[in-house]
Amino acid sequence: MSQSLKPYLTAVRSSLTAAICLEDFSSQVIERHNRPEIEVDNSHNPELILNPMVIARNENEKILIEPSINSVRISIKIKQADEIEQILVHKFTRFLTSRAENFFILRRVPIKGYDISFLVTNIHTEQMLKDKLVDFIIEFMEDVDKEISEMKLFLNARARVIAEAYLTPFD
Amino acid sequence: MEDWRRIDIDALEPEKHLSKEELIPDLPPVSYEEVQAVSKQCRTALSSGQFLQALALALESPPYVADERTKNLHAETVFEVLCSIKNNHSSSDLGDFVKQLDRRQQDTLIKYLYKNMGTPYGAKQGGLLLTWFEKAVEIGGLGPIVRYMTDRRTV
Repeated sequence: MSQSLKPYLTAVRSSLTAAICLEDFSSQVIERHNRPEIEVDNSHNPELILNPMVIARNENEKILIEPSINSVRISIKIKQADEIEQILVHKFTRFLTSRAENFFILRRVPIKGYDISFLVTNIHTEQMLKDKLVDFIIEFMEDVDKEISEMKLFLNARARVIAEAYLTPFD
Repeated sequence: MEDWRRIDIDALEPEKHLSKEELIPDLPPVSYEEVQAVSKQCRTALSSGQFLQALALALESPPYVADERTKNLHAETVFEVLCSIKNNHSSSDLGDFVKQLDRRQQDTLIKYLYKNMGTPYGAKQGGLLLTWFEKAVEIGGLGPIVRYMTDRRTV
C-alpha cells in the first residue's frame, strides 16, 4: 500500500463509522411515507440533513459522504490519470450500476462530479453488519484502483501485440 | 363559538417545521475585518516561530456566523498555519500539537480539516491534511467527527 493511501483509507473508515449511525425515521411531511431523507428535497425540514464531509487525497481522488437521520450517501471519485483510464472507469462503473439491484447499497446514478455513489439506509444497517458495510466500501476503493490499472496494462499489452501483427506483412 | 372553519390549524400544530434560518446558531456575527486581524496575528506568530500559539489562536475564534467570504478567509488562515507547522516539523511531532489543544479546539480542527479538503487548494495538499486528520482522530477518537456532522455552528 502506498504511503498516502493509508491515511486516506483510515480517514474514510473513521468518517464512515461515524456517519453510518442510522435509525428508522418516517417522513414528517407525508403521512405513512418512509424515505431516505438525503434523497428528498428537504426545504421543509433541514434539521434532518447533517453536514456533508469531503475527504480528498488529491484533485482526482476524493469521496463525499452526506449523512442524514436515516440514510447516508457516499460518492466516490475514482482516480483517472489519462483518457484510457477515463474510458475504463466509465465502462466499469456503468457495468456495476446497470446491475445495481444485486449490490443493494449501490445507487443507480452517481452524483454529479463523482463516478459511483452508494446509498446506505437504515434497512441496510438492520439487515447487515455496519462494520462489514464499512469494510466493503473500503475494499471496493482499494480494489477498483487495482482493477483499473490492471485493465490498463492488459489493454496496452494487447494493443502492442495487435500493432505488431498488423505491421509484420510490411516488414 | 366563532367561525371555526376559518381557523388556521397549521399554525396550531405543535410540530411546526423548522426553517433553514432557525438552524443558524444564536451567536454574534463576525465581520471580515476581525477575521483579517486574527489572520495577521497568526502570521506574526508563525514568523516568530510560535507555532502552537498560532494554531491555538486560529482555532480559538472561528467565525460561526458570517458570510462565505469571511469563513473562507479564516479557513485559508487555518490551512496556512497547518502547512507551515507541517513544513517545519516531522510528521511524528504533529500528534504533540494536537495533544496540546483542548477538546473544543480539537473539534474545531476537525471542522477545518473537512472544510479545507473540500476546497481546490486543499485537495491539492490532500496528503498533508490527511496526515493531520489521522493524528487528530488518533487522539480525539470519533467524537469530533460526530460533532462535526451534527454541529450547526458550521465553519
